[in-house]
Formats: sequence, structure tokens, C-alpha cells
Amino acid sequence: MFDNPLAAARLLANAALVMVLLAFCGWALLGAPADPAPWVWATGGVAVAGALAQFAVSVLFPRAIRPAWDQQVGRTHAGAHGFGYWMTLVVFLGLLLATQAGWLTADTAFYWLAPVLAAAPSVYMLVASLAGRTA
Amino acid sequence: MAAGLTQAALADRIEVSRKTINTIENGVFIPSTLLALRLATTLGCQVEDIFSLAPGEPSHDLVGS
Repeated sequence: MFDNPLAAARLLANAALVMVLLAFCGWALLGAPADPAPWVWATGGVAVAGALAQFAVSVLFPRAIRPAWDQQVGRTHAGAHGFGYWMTLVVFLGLLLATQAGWLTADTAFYWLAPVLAAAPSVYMLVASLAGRTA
Repeated sequence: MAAGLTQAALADRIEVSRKTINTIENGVFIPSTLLALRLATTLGCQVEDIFSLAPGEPSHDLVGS
């Protein structure tokens, strides 16, 4: 699984982002305080850190770039973007219904969109990696 | 692996991941024509020697067939 350092960095970055999303969901389901803003910052911070880590590994191991982003990974990556798009639409509609029903404030719903938008492609990439569909 | 190459060696020569070679071998991933040609060239054979339609597999979605 870790024969390519860039692929390993990408896997770890995606896994970290998914972990933050799962923690956020768990926190919300446990009825934690209503301000989700810190989780949005955490999601963004982990995403940026993951991107920087992958950039650093790319600089340190330039020969790993092409195999790590080969044709199969390219297709999986495109699938991840598509998944993210549809997940965002679905979650947006869900949050719209929740706000209309009075279960959520519009501000809270807005914050909920951010982690989903950021982490949905990572969920897809992580599952694909664990299924052996990426480098 | 044909041509005496391991999956890792073949992957290294055509600059793809070993998993991609593995999934191509297992029929999980179907490569582009360009990658198929690179595979065949590296292995010293024709594309048809590596890839073929399974018996009874529909081919009506292919242009010109």
C-alpha cells in the first residue's frame, strides 16, 4: 500500500480529513453545543495541511508523481469530484429542509455544508484506495 | 507476468502504479488505448495479445462495429 510515498501521503491526507468529518458528525449527533465554526476551521486546516504535505512529498520524490497520478487514479479522482458534487447537492437539500422545518438555523446549516464540501471527495478517494483502486 | 517482468518492474517502465498493473491484469480497470499500446510495446507484443473481448461480450457500442 505504501510503495509510493506520494500515494501514501495522499491516503493519509484523505484519511485525516475523513476522520475530522466523522468526528464532526459524531459531535453533532451527541448534541454538542450549536457552534460548529471550530470544526469548519479544523476541516480547512487539515485539508490545507494535507495538500502541503503532498506538495512537499512531490518535491522530495519527483519520480513518484507520475505513478501516483496515473490514469486509474485520474479516473478515480474525477469520480471523487462527481461524488462531491452530488453529495453537496443532496446535503444542501437536506439542510434546506431542516432549516425550513426549524430544526437548524441557517447559520448552522451553512457551517455544515463546509465539511461536507471539503471531505466528500476524500471519502470517495479513501474508499477507492482501500479497495485497491488508486496507487 | 509475461516478458519476465514483475508487476512492479512493468509499472516502473510505463510510469504507472503497481496497483494499476494489478487491476488491469484482474480486469478491474480498463486502460485507455494509449496506455494499452504502451503496455504492449513494453511487453513486446500486440495489444490484441493482451486485451480481447470476452466470448459473447457485446461490441455494438464500438465505433464502426
